[in-house]
Amino acid sequence: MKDRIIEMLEAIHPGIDYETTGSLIDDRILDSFDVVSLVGDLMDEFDVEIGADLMVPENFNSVDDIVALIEGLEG
Amino acid sequence: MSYASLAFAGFVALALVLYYIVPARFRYVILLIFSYVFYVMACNKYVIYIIVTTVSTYFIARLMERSDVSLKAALSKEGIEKEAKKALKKQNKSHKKTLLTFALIFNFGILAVLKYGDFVIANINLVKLNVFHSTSFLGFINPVLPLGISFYTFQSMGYLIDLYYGKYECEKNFLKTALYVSYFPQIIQGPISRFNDLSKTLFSGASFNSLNMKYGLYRIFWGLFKKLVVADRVAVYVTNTIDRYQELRGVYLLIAVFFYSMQIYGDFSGGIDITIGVSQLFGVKVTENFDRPFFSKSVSEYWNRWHMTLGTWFRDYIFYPITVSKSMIDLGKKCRKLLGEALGKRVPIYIAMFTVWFTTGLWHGAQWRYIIWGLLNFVIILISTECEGVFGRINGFLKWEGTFIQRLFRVVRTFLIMSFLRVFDLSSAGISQALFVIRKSLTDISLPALDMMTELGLDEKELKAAVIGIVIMFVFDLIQRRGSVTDRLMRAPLMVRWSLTAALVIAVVIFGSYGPGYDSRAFIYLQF
Amino acid sequence: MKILKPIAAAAITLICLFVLNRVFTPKYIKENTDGRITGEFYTQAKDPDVVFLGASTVHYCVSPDYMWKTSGFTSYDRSNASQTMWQSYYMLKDTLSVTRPSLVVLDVSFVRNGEEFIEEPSSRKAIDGMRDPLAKLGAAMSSKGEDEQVISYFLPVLRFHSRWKELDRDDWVYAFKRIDVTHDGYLMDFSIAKEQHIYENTQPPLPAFPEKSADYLNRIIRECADKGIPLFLMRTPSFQTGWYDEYDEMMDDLGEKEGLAYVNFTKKVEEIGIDVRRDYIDDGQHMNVVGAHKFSEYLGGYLRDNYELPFHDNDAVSDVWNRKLSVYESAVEAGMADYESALEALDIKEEGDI
Repeated sequence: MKDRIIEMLEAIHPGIDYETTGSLIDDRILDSFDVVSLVGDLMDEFDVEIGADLMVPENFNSVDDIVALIEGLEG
Repeated sequence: MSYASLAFAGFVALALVLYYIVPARFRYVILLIFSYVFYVMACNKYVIYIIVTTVSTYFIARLMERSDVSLKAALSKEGIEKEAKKALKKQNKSHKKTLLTFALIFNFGILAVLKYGDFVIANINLVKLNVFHSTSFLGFINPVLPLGISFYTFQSMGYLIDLYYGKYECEKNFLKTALYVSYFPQIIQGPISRFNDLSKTLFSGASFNSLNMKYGLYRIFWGLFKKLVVADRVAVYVTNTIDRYQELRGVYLLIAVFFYSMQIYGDFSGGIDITIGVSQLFGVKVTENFDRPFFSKSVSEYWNRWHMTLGTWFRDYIFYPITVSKSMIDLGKKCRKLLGEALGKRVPIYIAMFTVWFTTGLWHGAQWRYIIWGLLNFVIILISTECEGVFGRINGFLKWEGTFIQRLFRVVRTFLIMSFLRVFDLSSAGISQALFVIRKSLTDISLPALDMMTELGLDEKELKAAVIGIVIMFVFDLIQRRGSVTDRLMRAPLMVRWSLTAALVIAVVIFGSYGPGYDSRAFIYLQF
Repeated sequence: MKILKPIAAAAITLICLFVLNRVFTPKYIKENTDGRITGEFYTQAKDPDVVFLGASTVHYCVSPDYMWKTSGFTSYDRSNASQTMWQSYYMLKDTLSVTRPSLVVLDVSFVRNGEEFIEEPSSRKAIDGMRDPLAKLGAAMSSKGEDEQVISYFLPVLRFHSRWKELDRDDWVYAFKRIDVTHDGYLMDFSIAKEQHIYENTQPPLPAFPEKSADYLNRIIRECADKGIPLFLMRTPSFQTGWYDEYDEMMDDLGEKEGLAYVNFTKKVEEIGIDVRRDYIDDGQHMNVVGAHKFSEYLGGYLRDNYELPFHDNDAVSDVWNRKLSVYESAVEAGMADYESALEALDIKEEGDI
């Protein structure tokens, strides 16, 4: 899952080392446009529903955060 | 009462004395009392509106809470099946949604009627005239606009939406809720706080802390500097120039465009500085609203740095919810089939964006020129997103990716775009005036004459003062990139700190643009 | 010792404010010299025998230094441009906070103006120089217009800060240094009106004096009575629109009721020997030095005859005032050439008109 997510991120916003960055939202690396693009992709790929209440920095600051989010929704 | 007035200083001083006298657990009551005194002084009987919003917010919040509590109780019963649990949750959500919807329609409805009622009527009349050739016009309501109604409505509705999502627990104390809605340092121009953020310090009744006082006072005086020395000074010129926009040469309009940017920045961010500084005196931490916006490299970035709390409100409560709503997701799927993957998935995002920018424009004023302004922002962001590829190739060709020159180009470009867009703000005579001013300022080239500048409100000395003030603002923001200026000031040697403090206060008192000017001719005894 | 820092900070702040207030307040040396009248009282003649209150018709018509010469008592013109009755009252209070004159003389012309009469520049010139804080507060509160703030009368830098563009050497030098520009409140003028038109009243008189002025006139009367200081009500020989015989009657009635004398010296110009054409700098409101001397001598004699005023035979006071007088007379001598040429020009003109 992690690799797939990194692929998605690189398609939306290339040139960032997504493995190591832990402040994608806080450092404004991903803007809100990127976030909604990503959310759309995630909902498609993993067949989950991500409500607006889940679109907070804690869930998107790092790839691990995103993984945790999806896994939480799948379970 | 303006934030930049002696009356307000006296008001705050009195509030501070009482605040620190009463025991900590009652301090928020002092803030509440003073907030309502402030409000009634500004609005008299129209305080009823904020009371109505407060009461409805409180009760809807408590009702939503009660629903959640019932749900919890029901779920904790033994032997409930998964399906039943799901049904209960759905029912709770639906119930809360009804409550929330009512609150939103009710409170935004009040805002809509008061702020936009006459705008809608004017447009209905326009349609009646042009389409139906009817002259039976609807009468205008001419309502009074209660102080800060946009700000407090958004701030309280954000609170209710957060509760709907279950982000935190509601505030059970009615008085505390009332304070959250009416808190006087925020009431005039924000920022629009989030409950979980503001409530951390708003109710805790912090004990007297000399550091808070110092930081607070520095912040206040810096805000006064930006407002009185820069903004109010150039405002004279801007107003006079725009009034005479048709007869003046383009260069004066161009200067007005530049000065107007400085004016709104100085006035708005200066006012917010006063808000944050005053709050700090009470030990209340109010979130930032500006982050050196003129250093932005793109229009998108600008809106992450200017009036930040408005941007995040629209993002969290309009943009995100729309993009993940069922109808948008379905639309997205259809569009991807029709227009292909890349473009298709962007359609719902752009629709959400359009909504955001339409409402942003509308937020700024009940006139078409504001809506157009908002949509122009949208168009520019849309174009820059769609043309990313093209720009990338140009950057590659110029071989300047990541260089200082490129950053400088982007900053200047963004500044110019945003400054020219602001002309719509200025143009009280409408869109045609805005377009005229923009076109003329860019095409009618000439050199400015000091005489004309003086006639328009800035003689040589005032001009120098304005420019120096702007440079100081700029240098301050430049220094701020590497960390808080006040922090550095506090670490500086005593003499340096005191000299700079004295200089700041004296600068505000002497160079502030307030009060009647001294004209010795007016002091000549008029012998009748 | 931690308390030292805030105390030092507060002290420095107060000193800075004090200096800024002094520097930014206009000095009124080169122009608008009537702005100096209030403040020079404390340095020029703090304990005068007589205090004159009123508007500019006092400080252009009454010369204390000349009156010293003719009648041997000391005085000061505590008047200002358009000084209202309430400003005169607070001027009296301010005066009484530092001294006790043997007589107060009030020019009542401004009793006809009501509360709508607000002239910010005149208020500033009258009030900024006051030293007694209570009198200043009362004067500011009663005089201020809607756009004004009382605190700006105590922190004048708030009113005059925009003078940063025009501060000159005088502002810095005379921020604390004394300079005598007026002559015990009297403003010397050597001109003669080139054209003169004494206007007739077009409006009917008011049935009664406006409430605010009547009230403050009453307060002045009460204050003098309470302090046991004689009060003389009068009008200097000033031809102003807005004064009527009816008002003279009203003042006579008031005087009778209060046991105070009232004289409108405008009615006595012949007796005083005033040349209406040549003794005024304008349309008969303000006198030049020749007119002022005629009137001051007459008035001095009148006051001597009717009120108990001290004599200063070779005392400390007379030393000071005789020195003042010689300074005064040099000033008069220096300016008479201007008067002479104005007179000549007028005579030539009048000849040509015949």
